[in-house]
Amino acid sequence: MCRLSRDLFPIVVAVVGAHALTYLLVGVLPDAAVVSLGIEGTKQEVLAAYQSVHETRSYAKVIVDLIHFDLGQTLDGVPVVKEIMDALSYSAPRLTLSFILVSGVVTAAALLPPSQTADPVVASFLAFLPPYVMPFIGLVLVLYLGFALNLSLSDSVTQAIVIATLAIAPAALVWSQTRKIAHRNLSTDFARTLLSIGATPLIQRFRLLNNVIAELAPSLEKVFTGLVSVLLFVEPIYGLSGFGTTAIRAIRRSDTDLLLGLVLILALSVAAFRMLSIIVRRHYHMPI
Amino acid sequence: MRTLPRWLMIAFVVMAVVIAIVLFEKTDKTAPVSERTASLRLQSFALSLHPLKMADVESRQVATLLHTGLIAQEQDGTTKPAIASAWIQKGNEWTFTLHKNITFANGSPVTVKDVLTSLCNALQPSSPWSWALASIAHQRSQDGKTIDCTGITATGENQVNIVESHPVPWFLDALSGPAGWILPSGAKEEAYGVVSGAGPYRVKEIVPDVRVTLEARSTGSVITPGVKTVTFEYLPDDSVAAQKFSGGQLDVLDLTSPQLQQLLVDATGKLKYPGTMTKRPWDRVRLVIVNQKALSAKGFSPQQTRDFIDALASTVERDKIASLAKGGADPLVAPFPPAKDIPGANTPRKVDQLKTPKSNLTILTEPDPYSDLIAASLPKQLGSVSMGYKGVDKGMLINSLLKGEFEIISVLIEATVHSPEFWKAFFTPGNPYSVVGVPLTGLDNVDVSTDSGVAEAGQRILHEGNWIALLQESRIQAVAPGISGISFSPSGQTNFAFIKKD
Repeated sequence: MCRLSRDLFPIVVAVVGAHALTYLLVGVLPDAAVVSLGIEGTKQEVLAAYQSVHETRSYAKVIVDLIHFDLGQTLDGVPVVKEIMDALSYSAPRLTLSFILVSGVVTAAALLPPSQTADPVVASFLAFLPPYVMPFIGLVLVLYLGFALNLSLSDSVTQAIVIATLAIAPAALVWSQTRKIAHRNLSTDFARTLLSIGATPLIQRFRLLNNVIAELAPSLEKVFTGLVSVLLFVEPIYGLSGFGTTAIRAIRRSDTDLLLGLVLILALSVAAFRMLSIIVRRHYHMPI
Repeated sequence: MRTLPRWLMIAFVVMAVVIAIVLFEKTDKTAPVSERTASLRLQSFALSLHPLKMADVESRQVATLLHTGLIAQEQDGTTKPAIASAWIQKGNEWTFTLHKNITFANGSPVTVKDVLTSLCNALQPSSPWSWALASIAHQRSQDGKTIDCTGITATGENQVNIVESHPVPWFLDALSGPAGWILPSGAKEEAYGVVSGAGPYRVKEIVPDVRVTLEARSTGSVITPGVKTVTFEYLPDDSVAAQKFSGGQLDVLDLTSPQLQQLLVDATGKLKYPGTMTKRPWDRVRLVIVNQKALSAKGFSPQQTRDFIDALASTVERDKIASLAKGGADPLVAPFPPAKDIPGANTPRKVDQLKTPKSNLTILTEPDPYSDLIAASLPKQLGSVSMGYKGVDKGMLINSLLKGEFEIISVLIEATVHSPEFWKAFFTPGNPYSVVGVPLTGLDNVDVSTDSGVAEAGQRILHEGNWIALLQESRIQAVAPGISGISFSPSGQTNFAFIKKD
């Protein structure tokens, strides 16, 4: 119980802190009424009518409403919970499939035999690969196929490109880590013993996969954060509905309630991944 | 080293398969465009479909299918019946006879009371359209918060009488737009400002950041729907929109940027893909606005600010900037757009004699490629003043403009009613719009419904205002084969209510 409290305390502080900080930072964004009304926002009566509908809640009220599971309403008059659930229903499958893709990369990196020539080259390339460029390269690819080759890409192909684009940056991160860990593990006594008792090199690397997963556990949180960060670029670029597009819209329109709701969900998700990595490392009796 | 439990691994695999299936079902499928579906573009997804809360032209395009007014005026000035079957004008007085047996989308009949209430609501100070209908006789309450609509009365079971206290040429234009759209009395507003309207379509589905789908009403509308479904697809990116049009997935596309023209129009000025292209007048101008207060804070005297504005106005290479638009815009010299030709507007100023404090000024602009090109084409140096530019998000740009937190700003202003009154408002003392212009004493007494009034206002704004005109845009629209019935208001706003697809 005490250990759980010790693990949970910093996570709760981080979630609450992110939420409170967002409320403060919303003040830096343009006035929502001005953004929505444009030049009409100069008229006091029009502004007053708008503000009477879109009331700004104090942070104390936000917290009280949150305790009652009320995240407020978007500027469009849609409950924030519904808006976020809709966005997640689009983004969650994309994130999951990207995560599976990253997992596949981890498995491949752990099972492939070490190469004295290819590994340094790939590592150098990945170190200089700017992950944020990938959504744009993907878009150029889609447009090129559309215009130059006069192809109309099906939605499934576009979705596949999006998933690959999402996965590429976190995959690059874990590829490098996995290769280093795998290389180090292969030189341990345990690995040599496996070979001496008749295991093939592939079986040897397969047995060492657990060690790789255990050591990569702290990166789970980073992988998730990386996936969500790229989501903010990718979904708006491809005009796809989801968490990223909703977040960008919330920022551009200074939609306070929606922004707070999104940050809360994101913070809770990152916290969940942090807890998962703690659980995995405890499972393997590794230091936290 | 322990291994992960098998049940956990199996659970992961099962979850992945389920999610993959969900993804396949959840894919943002774009249904093939059927003959009875018109597919249109939505460039921004900030919908506010309530006519009295509508502040953007994107929402207006969608709402033209949901709402209608007493009449619908075309760009050439011809007027079509809508809720009113007939109308007569006697001096300042208009009498509209309503169609019988027409209903709103919620099934309730359109009554004289609905017309009176809707028009009076639009006249209230809290309505963004109060200025457009201001010619209707009315009395303001003592506290100024409400309007008594003395000029709007019922003259029978199905007749409405409107009296103008000072007739204006744009009255029917205002009446056929959001200011004159008729809503059911006590209409309940739903999310995105959706209220039942008298237009030919109703909202079927709104998927945030993806699409708005409208379905044809089977009965009760005075306008017969020309297609079964109208879909507005949210396509913020020009390249993606061009690709959809070229692939036949989009029926109408406004070529509002050089990039779109480059992708869809060939060297001879014709569409590269099947369809037609039209070019129409559009009350949309690109301007540079100088913040006199900000310059004053930098040590400019009022005369130095005036000299700077005049010098900048005479050194802007409008022809070069217009050429960037590839036919979508013409050079505009007059800082008061209704006065196309202001004497003296073209007079070159002596820039070499410009005496101003040495300073660096920043021009704010939107970050889209076209705005960026325009800002980059403005002079970088004027006497001892250096100018650089910075692209900011549209919300930030509007915020800076209305709060006066800028030095120079390059903006796009669009009038939705073809009225000089709209443009005059930016320079009228006491008018809220004047935060964007400069209040010019006495301009409120200038009657811009006459040519001489327009010329006088133009002269005042040229010599005392803070606007530098750059371009007058035209609406170039690419239309797919088989599409017809798109109409335009006198200010160039698109009305899709009569759209048809063969």
